[in-house]
Amino acid sequence: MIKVAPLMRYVLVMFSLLMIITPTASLSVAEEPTLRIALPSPPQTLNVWSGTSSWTIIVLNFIYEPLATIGPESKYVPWLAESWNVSSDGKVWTIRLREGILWQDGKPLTAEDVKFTYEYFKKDPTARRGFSDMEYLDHIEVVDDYMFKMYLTEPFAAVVSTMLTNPIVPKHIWEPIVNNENFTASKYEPKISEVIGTGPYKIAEYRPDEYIRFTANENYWKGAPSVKNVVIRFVKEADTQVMMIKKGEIDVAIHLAINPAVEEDLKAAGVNVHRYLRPYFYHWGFNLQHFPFTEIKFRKAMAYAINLTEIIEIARLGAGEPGSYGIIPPVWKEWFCKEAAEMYTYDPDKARQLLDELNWIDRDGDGIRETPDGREIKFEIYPPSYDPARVRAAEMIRDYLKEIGVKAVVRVGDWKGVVWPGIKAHKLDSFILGSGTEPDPDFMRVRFKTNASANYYLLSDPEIDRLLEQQAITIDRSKRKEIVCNIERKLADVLPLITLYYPVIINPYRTDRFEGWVEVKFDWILNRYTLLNLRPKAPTTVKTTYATTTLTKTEMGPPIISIAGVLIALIIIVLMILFSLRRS
Amino acid sequence: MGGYISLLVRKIIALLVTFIAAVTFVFIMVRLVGDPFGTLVLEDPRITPEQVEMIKAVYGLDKPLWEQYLDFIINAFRGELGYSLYYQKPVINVIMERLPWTLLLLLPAIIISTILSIYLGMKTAWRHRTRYDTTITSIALFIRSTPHFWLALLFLMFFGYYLGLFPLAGSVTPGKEFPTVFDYAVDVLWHALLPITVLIIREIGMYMLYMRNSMIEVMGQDFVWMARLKGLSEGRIMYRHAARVAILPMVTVTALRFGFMINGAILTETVFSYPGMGRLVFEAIMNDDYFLVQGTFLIMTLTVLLANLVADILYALLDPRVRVT
Repeated sequence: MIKVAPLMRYVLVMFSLLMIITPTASLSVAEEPTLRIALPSPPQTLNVWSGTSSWTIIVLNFIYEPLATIGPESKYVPWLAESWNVSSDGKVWTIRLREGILWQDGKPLTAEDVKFTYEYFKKDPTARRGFSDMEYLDHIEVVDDYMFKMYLTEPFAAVVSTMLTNPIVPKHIWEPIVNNENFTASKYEPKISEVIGTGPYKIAEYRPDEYIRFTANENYWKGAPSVKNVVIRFVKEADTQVMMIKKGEIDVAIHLAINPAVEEDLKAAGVNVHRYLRPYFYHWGFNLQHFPFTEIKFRKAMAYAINLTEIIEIARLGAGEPGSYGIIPPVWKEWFCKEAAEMYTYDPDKARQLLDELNWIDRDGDGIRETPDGREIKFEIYPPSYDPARVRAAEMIRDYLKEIGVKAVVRVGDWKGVVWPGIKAHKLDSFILGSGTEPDPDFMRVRFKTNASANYYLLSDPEIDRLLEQQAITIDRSKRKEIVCNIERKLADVLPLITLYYPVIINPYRTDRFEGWVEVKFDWILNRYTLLNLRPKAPTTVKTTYATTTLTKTEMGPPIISIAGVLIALIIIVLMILFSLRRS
Repeated sequence: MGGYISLLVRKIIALLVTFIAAVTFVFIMVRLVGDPFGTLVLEDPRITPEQVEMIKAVYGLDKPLWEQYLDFIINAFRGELGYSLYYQKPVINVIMERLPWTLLLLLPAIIISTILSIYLGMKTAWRHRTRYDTTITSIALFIRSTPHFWLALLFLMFFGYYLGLFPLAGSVTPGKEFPTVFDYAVDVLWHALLPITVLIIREIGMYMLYMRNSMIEVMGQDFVWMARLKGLSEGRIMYRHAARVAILPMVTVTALRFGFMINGAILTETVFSYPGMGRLVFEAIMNDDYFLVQGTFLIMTLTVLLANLVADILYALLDPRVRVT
């Protein structure tokens, strides 16, 4: 008993110390409610020319704005621009800006700023945010303060989606910097005072790798935002983000790796969940020069043999939507081609029949089919090891194919060391890859044209090439739509790949402090529309809301396994203190 | 005295050779494993191979390898580490933003854990095979074999989430205004306490056993028996005679731990979302950020080698046997 006394004293001192320290934190609730967001990584830079990581763009979107943006209906809508017209030959675009837009430092936005921005993007290859988008830009002619003409080197239908979505940068701030002889976009770190846009928020404070704080731009051209303060914290672990949002320490959690299984748990804790369809096509890509993928009938048999719904159910825990055989996801409503999407259904008998038609039959009774000259129907699938969903999907494909007498070997490989170099060098038979789509179908041209840099499938189809070129110069939307649907049908027919799923990301957000959230299916809850629409919910009750959150938390109670774990850890600590305090 | 100087000279020459070798190795390794602009086409399929070459040229990555190597070595000696490809600013700035936070976690953790490890190691060895020894040693073994991030996560969940005593992430309360420096210090300390505790526990689990083994070895030696025969008190033998010798291997180990401090503590930093070097180095490698990897490894090599040199000198000062050539 005597020995325990000093320990108890020690513990008591520790706890009273904690009691003193703790209140300092819970008092940090500001008068004006702050919107608190968690991102997994800090922005790589605040340099809008060259920051391209998706987290950088989310941060910079608070500050900078484009001429056009993708609307909630998945159509491009004018933003800083008021309208645009295109000449009949598709080479001259006349664009009118909205009047009365001010930069955050009070100077007006004019056509000169746009000219400066686009021409600089065109000039500097390290200005990567927009460099490759300006490929067809020849020059810009300023007509007056609010109107300019954009001359292209050749007609281009995807001007809005590629060029006009780039952020506009103030000429009066950047011209002196850019004119410096040694200036290279990707080697310049702007000062906070140089990070000036037209957007709803401006930077108040930035602590690298820690948080960034914004305050409302009271002169914002769409009206000052109702939420005056925003803090974005960088929280690397998805699990920590989930804990924080359940506890009410953050209002939005943004992380690609939040486990879909926690969705119910979050809802039980009063947290809303936005299911964000990430417009990426995760696909099983074929090398069209490797046997057996050289055979179109075989590829069709693959499409019949695998069950996409089941793959999503098991590999993605239901968080995904089945892929279209025409690649374009249904969220890009205007370009999605239903006919291509429904070209195949899960039907193993049909798959067997196609293989029989090829005269690939199991001749030696080992369960694997052979060609007439005795070659086994066998190949490898490479999923990257870091993504368990893709590994699982590959294993499921292997099992489906076993049913129809085809042998697939799953080779789980390191992405950087094995899978990616293999894909680039066209060395793999087949692989599982996730690639981005864009709201404009022109992205297919750089992926599926013969010899295109992102054509990992070695697809070479003159008809597809012709259609891809044609859609790029067809300005008339309904005509273009028809061509695009033809491309999708053709791709579904030729099958250089099978899109397995478009992933759905769990994006939790709390509604107890703010209201006016705008859910856009193909974007995070934190989109431009939410930023404009969000307002505090009865600001005087902030503190009581906190109290109820704490209550519900205690009511829930921790799960038994973690209690046991924590108890073990605690016993260890207590024992260590005990022993180290005990003197012989 | 002559022995000291020749030892020092030999050590410094060895250090320089090791340094150049290590730096060369890193230079080659980053280039073997990845290509910083290799995934550019994946992110931005519109980019053409010619454009990728233009970007490479901005960083001098279009030059032949030997020229890049010469640039790297020459710049390194001038203190120029180049520009981070990912963060797009001088490598040294990227490092300096994170280094203080890593040191804030690791300096106290190493110092406290070293003292506790030496003390506990000594005690357990002295009471070799008693209940005291078996209890503490098995706890240490348990901690040692526990995945470190799991322990960290457990602490975070219990103290941070369920008890709400500590913050769940970061090194300071975001956006808070501090009236005095003292308030700021308290806030920083409050954020650092859990990660430091986890680090201390892990480090004790590792290094207490070193001390214990070293001590047990020493206890079997003749001079300890001699001291016993002289009739000295147990405490005096333990502290003055045995521990002084047993502590020698710990000098090197501890010095090296200070050297590796720059490396950060990747798992702890990640779990507690702490802005530190560990995560930075990891992400630099994942992003194929040649210059950042080169820069951090160069500094790391330098500190480890210097720490090693200090350890060797200390060792020579403490242990006369080393000087005998």
